[in-house]
Amino acid sequence: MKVLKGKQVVCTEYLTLPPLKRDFRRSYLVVCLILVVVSLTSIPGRRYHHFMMRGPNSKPYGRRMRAARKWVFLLLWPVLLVFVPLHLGFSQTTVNPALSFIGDMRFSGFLHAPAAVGENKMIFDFHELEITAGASLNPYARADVTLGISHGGIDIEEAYATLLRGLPLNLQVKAGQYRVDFGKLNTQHPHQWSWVERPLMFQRFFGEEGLDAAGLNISSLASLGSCALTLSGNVFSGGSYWGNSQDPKLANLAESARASLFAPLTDHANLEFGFSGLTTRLGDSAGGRTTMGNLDFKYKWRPDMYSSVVFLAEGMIGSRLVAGGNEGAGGATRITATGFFSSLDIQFHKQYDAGALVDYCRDPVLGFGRQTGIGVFAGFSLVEETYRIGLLLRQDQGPALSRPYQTVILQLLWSLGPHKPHQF
Amino acid sequence: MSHRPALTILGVALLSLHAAAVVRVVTSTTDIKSIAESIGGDRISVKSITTGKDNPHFVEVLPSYMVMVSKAALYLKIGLGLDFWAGPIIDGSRNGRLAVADCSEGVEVLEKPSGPVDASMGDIHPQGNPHYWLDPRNGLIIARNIEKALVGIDPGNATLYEANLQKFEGELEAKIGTWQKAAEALQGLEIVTYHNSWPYLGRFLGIKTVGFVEPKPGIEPTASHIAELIDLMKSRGIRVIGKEPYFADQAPRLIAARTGARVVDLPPSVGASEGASDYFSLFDTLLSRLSSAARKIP
Repeated sequence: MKVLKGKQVVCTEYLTLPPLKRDFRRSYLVVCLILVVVSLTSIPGRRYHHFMMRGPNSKPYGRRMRAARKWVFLLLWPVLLVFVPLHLGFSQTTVNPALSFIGDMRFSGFLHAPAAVGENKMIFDFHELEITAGASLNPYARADVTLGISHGGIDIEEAYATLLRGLPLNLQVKAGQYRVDFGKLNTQHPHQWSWVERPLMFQRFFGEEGLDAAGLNISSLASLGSCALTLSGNVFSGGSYWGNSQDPKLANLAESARASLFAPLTDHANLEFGFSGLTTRLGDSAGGRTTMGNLDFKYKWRPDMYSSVVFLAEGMIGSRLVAGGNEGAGGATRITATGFFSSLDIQFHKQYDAGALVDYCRDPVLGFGRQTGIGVFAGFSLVEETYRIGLLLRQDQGPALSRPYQTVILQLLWSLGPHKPHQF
Repeated sequence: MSHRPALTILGVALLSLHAAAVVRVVTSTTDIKSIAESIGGDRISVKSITTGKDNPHFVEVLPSYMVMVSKAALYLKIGLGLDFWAGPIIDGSRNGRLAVADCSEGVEVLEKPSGPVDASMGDIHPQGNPHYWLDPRNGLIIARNIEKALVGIDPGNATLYEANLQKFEGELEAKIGTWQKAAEALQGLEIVTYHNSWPYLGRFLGIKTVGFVEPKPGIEPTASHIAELIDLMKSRGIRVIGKEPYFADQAPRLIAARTGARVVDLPPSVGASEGASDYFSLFDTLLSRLSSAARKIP
């Protein structure tokens, strides 16, 4: 019988390993490290290793020695390739993180679209491969990493450590690169959405990937009757948020906060309200501050495991000074941008769902003007989220567009790895 | 003026409040909750994450569950990978004083895969079949695990928990005898079930599950699999299809219509259907429904 009290709460698997198995794992690790060092020092024909290992004034190796090093190198790497997986095999059920790979393949078609979107093209696009890893670091903390691999290269979407427990006032502290909880949707990854694409307001205000930044998050959880109140605050820099630089070295610090209230209505219905605010000092010559606000709402009714209705709505407003114009000091003008997104997603069978969306954004700064999108979407999940085919039909229009344009996206999502529980 | 009487009254009041404070326990399922209530009596207050009507394989992580766990002193898990969703709930609760006990400790696990396991086999549990509470003899093990966990966090009431455990064991052992006697008529009965939830109950009652409506665990029934199952049921004369209430009855009813079998709603947990209000009545209900279905076999 194992009662894990206090500090022993999390690392159940590792703590219950028999000592012999731990010793095996340790010895494999040591052997692997020795092999890596030896093989690296034997890479043939690399002058810097002469310098590193033998000093700058040493004589070059003789012919025999070079041949010997070549063979050592050639023989050691295959051995390494065997040893490392063996080590991983031992530790798969112990301390290795849960690894998941999520592939997002798309066939997209655009009609009357502006050049920036894709004109009248039809394309196959392996949009992104997302790799996630997460596990407990110790009984008090865990770490999570999400890498996004796409045509643009490898992007560290998230890499953070969370201090889970042991702090007063039910506090949790998260530090690293993470999706800032400014609104509900920004914290989610696109593969969680039936409507395929990130809402316009997040793209316009924060860039294509939304608001992910390096910083510090402190949150607390409290109960209000049967409801759960979550209060959260962030200090961060970087990310590509409105009116600031994406480069953390150039960006000013930003602060944001969110309060959300989750209310269980019945055994099958829940709703959540959230309010977020963000402020930062501007990095451009106009000076002043950018302030932003966000309101979000989600309602979910799930009477059984085969059907559900999810309605969500999120609105955003941002205000900043820009150089030029006559208003305010220094000829700066205060401009306001707004955005709104709403969707209704109905699951009418274990494997099928369908819904509709409204997407709106008005941003006078960045030259996009006003844009409104409406769309319908449908999805087929072969077995839960492991293999999903999604379809999005969408029309966008606005004064900045010469004419309305249509988008069709057929998406294939697959998920390789352990099941993850669904979060509300 | 002396404050001694007032301080004494305050001290006694605080002590009585402390004595009256109950241990808050959260369980993954209603079955564990029911047993925990028997062991803890009025010294504990127990809440369950699932209601009995939910499929315990899929539970959405809600902030209200985290709040529930944040106030608890003990979390009782089913274990064997069934309640993998309990991890994020416990982490989200931020509760540094929480003790977590796995109720599957010491249970003889059935259907533990001997080779590699992957998703091509469906939603298979690498640690073995996790529906172990459906053998009431495992209820005795669960009860002992709960008693140890309670004594661990509340040693002051160890005597009470021990006494409650002995009482529970006596009652359950007596009922096990009664159920086994009643199940004699079911010995060798072959049935088909929707999901592979029943190997422990089958072992206890002497019932054999020869097929499943799901082609593989967690996989929706296909036309070809249903056709094969109908052939199997006809060839072996199987007349009972057991189904958990949370699964759709479309496929079982179709199979029943083609084979002349009866679809029986079998509650897999306390609270899953009417009559199954605690761990004892869960088995009363299961036995009664299976016996009733078996009697109607021509």
